[in-house]
Amino acid sequence: MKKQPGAARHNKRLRSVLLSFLLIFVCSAAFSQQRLITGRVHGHNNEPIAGASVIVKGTATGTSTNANGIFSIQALATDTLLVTSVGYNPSQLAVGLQSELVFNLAGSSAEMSDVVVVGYGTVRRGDLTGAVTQVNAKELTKYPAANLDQALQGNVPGLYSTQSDRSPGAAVSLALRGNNSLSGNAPLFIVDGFPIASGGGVNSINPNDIESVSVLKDASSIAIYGARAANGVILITTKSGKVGRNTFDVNVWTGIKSFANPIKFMNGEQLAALRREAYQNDNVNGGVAVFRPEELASLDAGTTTDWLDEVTGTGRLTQNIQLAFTGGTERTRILVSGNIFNERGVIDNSNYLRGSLRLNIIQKIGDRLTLFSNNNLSLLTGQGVTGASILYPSYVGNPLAPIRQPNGQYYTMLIGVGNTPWANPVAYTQLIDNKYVEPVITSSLALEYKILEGLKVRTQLSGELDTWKENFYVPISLSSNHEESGRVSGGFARVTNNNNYNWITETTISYNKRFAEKHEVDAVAGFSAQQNRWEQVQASASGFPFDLYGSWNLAASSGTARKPVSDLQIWTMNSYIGRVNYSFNSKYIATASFRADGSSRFGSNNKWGFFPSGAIAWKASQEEFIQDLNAFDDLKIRASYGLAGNANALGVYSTQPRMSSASFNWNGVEVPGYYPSRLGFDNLKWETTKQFDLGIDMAILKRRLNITVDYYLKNTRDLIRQLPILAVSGFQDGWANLGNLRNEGVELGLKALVINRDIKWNTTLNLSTNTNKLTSLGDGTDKIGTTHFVGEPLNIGTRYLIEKIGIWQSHEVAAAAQYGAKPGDVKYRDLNDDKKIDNSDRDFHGNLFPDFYGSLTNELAYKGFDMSVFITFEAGRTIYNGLNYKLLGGDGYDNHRVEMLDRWTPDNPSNQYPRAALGYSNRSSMASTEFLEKADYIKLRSLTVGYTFPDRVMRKISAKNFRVYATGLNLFTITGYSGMDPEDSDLGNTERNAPYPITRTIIFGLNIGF
Amino acid sequence: MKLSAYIFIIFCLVFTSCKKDFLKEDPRTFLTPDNFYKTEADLQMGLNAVYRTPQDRYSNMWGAPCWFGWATDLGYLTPANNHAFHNQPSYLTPAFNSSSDMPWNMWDYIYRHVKDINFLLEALKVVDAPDDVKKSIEAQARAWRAHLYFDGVRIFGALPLIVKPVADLSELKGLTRTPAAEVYAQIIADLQIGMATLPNSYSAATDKGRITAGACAALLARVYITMAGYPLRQNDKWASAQTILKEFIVDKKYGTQYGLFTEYSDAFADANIPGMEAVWTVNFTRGTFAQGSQVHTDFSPIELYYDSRAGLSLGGGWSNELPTPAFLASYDQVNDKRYAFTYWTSTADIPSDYAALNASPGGPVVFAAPHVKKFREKSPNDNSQGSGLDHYIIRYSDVLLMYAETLNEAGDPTAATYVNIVRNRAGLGPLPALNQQQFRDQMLLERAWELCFEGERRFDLMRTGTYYSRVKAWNAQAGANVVEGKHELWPVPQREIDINQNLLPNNPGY
Repeated sequence: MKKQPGAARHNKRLRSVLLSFLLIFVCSAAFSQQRLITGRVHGHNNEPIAGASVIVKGTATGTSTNANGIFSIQALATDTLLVTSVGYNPSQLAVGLQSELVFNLAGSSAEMSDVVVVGYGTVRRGDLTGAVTQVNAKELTKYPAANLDQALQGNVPGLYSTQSDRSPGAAVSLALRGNNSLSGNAPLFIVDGFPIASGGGVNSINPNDIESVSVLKDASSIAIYGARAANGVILITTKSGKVGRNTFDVNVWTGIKSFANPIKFMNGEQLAALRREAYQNDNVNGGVAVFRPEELASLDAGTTTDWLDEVTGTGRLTQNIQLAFTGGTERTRILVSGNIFNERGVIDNSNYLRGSLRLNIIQKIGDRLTLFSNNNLSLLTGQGVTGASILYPSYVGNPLAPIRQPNGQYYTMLIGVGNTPWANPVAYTQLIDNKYVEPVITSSLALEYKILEGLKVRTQLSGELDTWKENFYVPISLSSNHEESGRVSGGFARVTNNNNYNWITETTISYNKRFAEKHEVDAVAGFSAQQNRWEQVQASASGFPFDLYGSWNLAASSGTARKPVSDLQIWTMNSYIGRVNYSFNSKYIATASFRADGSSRFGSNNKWGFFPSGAIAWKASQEEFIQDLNAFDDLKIRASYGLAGNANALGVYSTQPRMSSASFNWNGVEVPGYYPSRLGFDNLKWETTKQFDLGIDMAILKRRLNITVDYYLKNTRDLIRQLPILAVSGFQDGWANLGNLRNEGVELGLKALVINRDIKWNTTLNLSTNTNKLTSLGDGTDKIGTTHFVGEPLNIGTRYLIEKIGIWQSHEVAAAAQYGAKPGDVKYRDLNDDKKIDNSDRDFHGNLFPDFYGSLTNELAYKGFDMSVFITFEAGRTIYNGLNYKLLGGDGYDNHRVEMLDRWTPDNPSNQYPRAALGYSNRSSMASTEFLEKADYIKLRSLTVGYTFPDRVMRKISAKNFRVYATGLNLFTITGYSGMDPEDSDLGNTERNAPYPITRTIIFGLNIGF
Repeated sequence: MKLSAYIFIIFCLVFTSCKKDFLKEDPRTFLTPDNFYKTEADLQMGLNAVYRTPQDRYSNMWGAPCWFGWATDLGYLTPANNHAFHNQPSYLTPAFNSSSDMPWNMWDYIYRHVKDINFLLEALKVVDAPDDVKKSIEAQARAWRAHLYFDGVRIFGALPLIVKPVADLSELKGLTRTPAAEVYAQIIADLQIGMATLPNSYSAATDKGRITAGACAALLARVYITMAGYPLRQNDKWASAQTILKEFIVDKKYGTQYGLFTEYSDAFADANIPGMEAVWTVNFTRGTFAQGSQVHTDFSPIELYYDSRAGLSLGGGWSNELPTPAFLASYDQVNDKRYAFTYWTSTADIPSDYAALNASPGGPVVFAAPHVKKFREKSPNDNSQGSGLDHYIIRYSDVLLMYAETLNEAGDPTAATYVNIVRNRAGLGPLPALNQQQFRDQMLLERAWELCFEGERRFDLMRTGTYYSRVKAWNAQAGANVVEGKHELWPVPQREIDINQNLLPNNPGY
């Protein structure tokens, strides 16, 4: 390869910047003797354009504008400066003798000329025929998120997210355009062309490394991802270097958490009073309440234990440090970044840390060949909390129970009367060691060869290595009570190692050509093969002489040998893809695509699925009669229809019949035993979703208002169902492709530049609705167990409840007695009037899914100040909060909410809270609407105030950008929900789980770019 | 252009590198029926699994002995237990219904196990193996199937009789409940095969505990006396039972090895099972995870678990089944050695091993009620390990008592002889003279003292038609709620009715 002088000159600069990277903050690039030119770049509304590329024409010398649109560059008087920025027409000026240059960039049809990343290519936003929401880096980082799915929350119309698990680093549940399947709604994540298979792969990405995220929603966008695309596709493009621009960005922030429990618990005295009343009411033990000695001691001493308070702490820090360097010449563009994100949870010893290093390279080799390589190394580590032994007892723990024994050691179980004692959550948080480490490497190498102008062949090989390792140790003092490890003595240690290897090779050929001015064709065809291999090894042991070894010396155990476990799951896919995009006169655009997917998961009789799609778009604003209206700056109407599949609803090997092992110990001799444990299902295949989408994109009021509206109708057929089989067969369940469901919805995305003066005010509103309905089960039945019902939304069974209509009052003794109840007991609607309250009195109550949800973002900028207010909201969803069954139980054994102070007594004829009672005799044990609550909320998810220093300050420190900011997360939530947070998920009456606390975080951050 | 040639080569390599069977699944972590059941060894492995499954039934899940001790005259559930799962069948409130867990778990257990047996029997037809081996496997498997359907017909009444592997699920669509008499016919046929085919004993030490001809005979006798009682009342079956039991006890047709240990307690020493008293047992092995019995944890004191803060490791349990005061009062507490062996009546009975516990910071352990310690393997018992104590499905003393019952029904005055063998070992004197009805009543007590908590009580009460009256009178917990004509049977699980309405009507009262 011939070295070009320009490249050499630039490489020298590149090296020097790299050096400064190493010397951290010593940023003093050695410039030549040229003159320093400063300049300003702004758009047609006089708004500064940040990040515009400024190049000395004909050289590789370049820079980019800072947040205020200011740049400075060394240039000769004879040079010409070329300024380019996405969304604007390029502009150039001769340097001459001026020392300050002002570039006024005309908006090239502004937004509409952006390039949008779609499957196997990019497309000009104006030429898009499908429903795609692209989220850029700025939107992704407005909420300091632990991982990408958190960052996407609220940013995409049609993407419904709830974060019911708020533990550090926890994933957010995402569902795009409703629930498509009985078996999971996770969209397909594709990072730089690589379908990431494992959870760790997505979590390993530092959100700051992401240039853009394209969320593909309609059939024509997703069909090219075939059998895995029915739940939508999320395309992630990581950053790369820009030609002629070297940047070095430092981004540091620290967040401080606080926890204000919205649930108020009784103290010991109040609980004791409740228990006494319960014994009296039910006349148990002669009406005299039973207390344990420890409880009496607490009562005497007036001490009370607030268990949730004991396991939580405030002032926990979340820290993020990010360094990124980008550099680029005509031939080489690189990104190097490093990031450490460290979050300590509000519950003791829960934490999450991600460290990542990324290197992205684009290198031109010769005239026709370009090499792309994206590489990420991440280390994820953390410790979680368990629902059953930490969260749940923290809520329901007896406040009269002491934490420690008189000898100073923890009680391993909570002291209490009458109920199964729960684990002592303090002991469990403090003493159990439960850490995982997950190194994830993703790497890809692609070669793109230009055969002719417009005709390219590209081959990409990508690999992912995801190793998850957990070390778990329960100390000797707890192990004989530790339920999860089987109540063994002498400590319990377990080591689990999961390895996931995922590779894909993909070759595409693409062609782009404009004929006779008016006709433009863009086509792509390709082939791919992917294999994913998951392995597991797990070993455990018990009976250790002391706790010192933890889980690091299993051989030191003297306990009975436990069998180690190993597992292997492999799945493969073969695919052929094709797409043609045709545009006539930039007015009428049509797209047709198809994919054929073969998957190892499918039954042997159904190995290949075919997924075609088509779309048309009409850019009405290009028509003269529309232009004559003078109303629309842009107007596009698009429609699409096509198929996509959901292969992942089928587990690996789930079509195979199997025998299971049941070895038997014959008088001390262990012999192998086998029995048939599952039937085989050779005809099982993917679920297919047919989707119709009709959308309008428009820009009005001189592009100050951009509106996108989409209507969609999705019919999913061949639902993969785990059919309950008559157990008489010896099998409990089998699999079948049976049943249809429908999702229908409307999405609105609105972006407005409300004020555009010295003060700028941008508003973004996302609003979505979706209705979900199980339309048929395909076998004439009208329900699946009591979970799904035809004609109702999925999972409505959790809303198939007995209705609470009040409390039996003193004057209703006789009526109550018919139901075996007495005054003070909960009164239920006897739907069939058979004088019995049982399952036949159930009916549907409340929704599982919101009527609508969305977000509202307001951004204000004034001089150097900026402010962003990010609100999310939803309405119509209900939560079944079965935790209240316990917390409002009325027996005074376990902890209760203070609301039970307002319980029914003859003198306090409450219709809300029943009487004190033992053994839940104040309620029927069945699930009722008493615990169904509305989850409507408005949440101030983040509020950010920032200040960008003026140019003179930046110049002093040679920075291009210098911003400080403060962000508050979850500052307030307006909701009527009585639980921890309205994003909680359902909990059953006796489910031993409870939500992770919601915290408020105040963040202080600093961005410096050089 | 040279470069593009390279590219082209890469392109071709990638394109053609996929093998033809790239999409074929090749699971390495489990067997499929296609590649199993090929050899004699495979058949033996299938039979091993058939022997493994009853460990679930006789430990503390899926039909644990206490499930059939609750809501009887002998046992009740500790009030400290607040699991609906346990409360429903022990209190017999209306909450015990077709949606309750226990009937479903029992039903599921029975048919899961029947399925294993049916697949094995089907495989016997195609696998090449010596004839005598196949016959022996068939007889053992069918004996277990008889045992399962005997459970099923006594618990649920009429229930679907499946004797072949279900290959096509559509076969199940019109399935109805098979009348109890037909189910019994199959049980009898299966057991008769075992009586004719299986040996009286096995010589290899590792085969101890395998089903023998005697085991099948004793179970058939139990089947017959059950058929003779409520609800079938087939009186002629008394004689059928008597014939078998006479052959067993008097003629020693099934071997000479049977007898009673000198002491009642010896019958429950791990080293003695299977031994002379074992007619049909379920094998457990201490320490091997999932192969040890948890049955004792159902009876061991929850106070030892929680009060001692020692969990299971020092003998704690769940107090799931406690003896009723009426039953305790029925004993000759002074002379009957079984009384002291069976119960811990107060803290004072706790062996000295537990002295350290009593000195623990929590103070002395106090029992809320007497506990059953019959199944404690040793003392102190580390219950976290699972005990190796094999569980008796049929004990020789049961055979003796059944024989006495059949003789009494035939008006034979020698009936008392066989009861007295059992009484004598327990330290009690011979029975006084009793008329036939008095003898029947006495047998209920004799069987209770000898066999209590081993898992048969519910069925004894049912076949003798005394279920309602005894529960009402002896068990305060269930007595308040028990309904005559309803609680003798459990309901067919709602889950099954939801799938197949042909299983309706459910049992009376449900």
